[in-house]
Amino acid sequence: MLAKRHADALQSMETAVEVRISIDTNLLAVRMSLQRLLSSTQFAKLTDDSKSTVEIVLAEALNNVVEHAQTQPGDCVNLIAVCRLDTLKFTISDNGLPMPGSRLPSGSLQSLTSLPEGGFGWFLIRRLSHSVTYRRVKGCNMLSFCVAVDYVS
Amino acid sequence: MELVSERRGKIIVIRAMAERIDAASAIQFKERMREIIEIPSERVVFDMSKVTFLDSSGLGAVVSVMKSLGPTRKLELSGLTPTVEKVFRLTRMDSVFLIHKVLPESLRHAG
Repeated sequence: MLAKRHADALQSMETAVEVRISIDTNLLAVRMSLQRLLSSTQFAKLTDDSKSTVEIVLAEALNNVVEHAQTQPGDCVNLIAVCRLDTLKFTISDNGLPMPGSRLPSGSLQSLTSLPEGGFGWFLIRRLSHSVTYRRVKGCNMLSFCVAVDYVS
Repeated sequence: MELVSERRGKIIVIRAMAERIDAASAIQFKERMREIIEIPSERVVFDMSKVTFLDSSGLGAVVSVMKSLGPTRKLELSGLTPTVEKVFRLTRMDSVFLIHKVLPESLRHAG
């Protein structure tokens, strides 16, 4: 049983593809990196629906860093994508300010009657991804989450 | 952030020519839209059929434009592409706007 699990884990590691990119901490750089990443071979076979889910979640998470972490000019935000079967795991790290209260925003939606203009970002991240974790490691923010995806058959 | 607007009778039709309304363009989008909607009209229809990506900043900007219209005019949206539709649906903002599947026939010549 243990041997089989070990063999499965090894096989899964062998089939995993890892992509790492460093992005300048500005909004245009995030936009361009996302467009490049999603048109790369690793992501080419995702269905349009999965591609859009990945793009929304990544845009929200990366733009949060650019807009709120107050990184210094010249700093980068790093993205690691691990593609394993029908799950993509993303880890985003930066050396900016920690999340307020050192924890993740709840991402709950405000009442629509007040016509909120913000607060959608974390709602979308939580709605479209799972296993979201946040850690502060040696002065860096480490955010990771998984997105379930489908491939074009 | 290019926007093309045309007045057709009592209606202003605004067409987004950019593919993205995202964090990088949201502020500029809001400012341009506010200039356009200063022109008095009964209705404002925003054709989003060229927009393939909208994030939470873009959504916030669209809501903000709707609020600047004041209590008598509503922002009508048209031609939401799948990703844009997904963001509106998940955030339930699709219940706040009047959304046309495609631009009504009588308004199709703007731009």
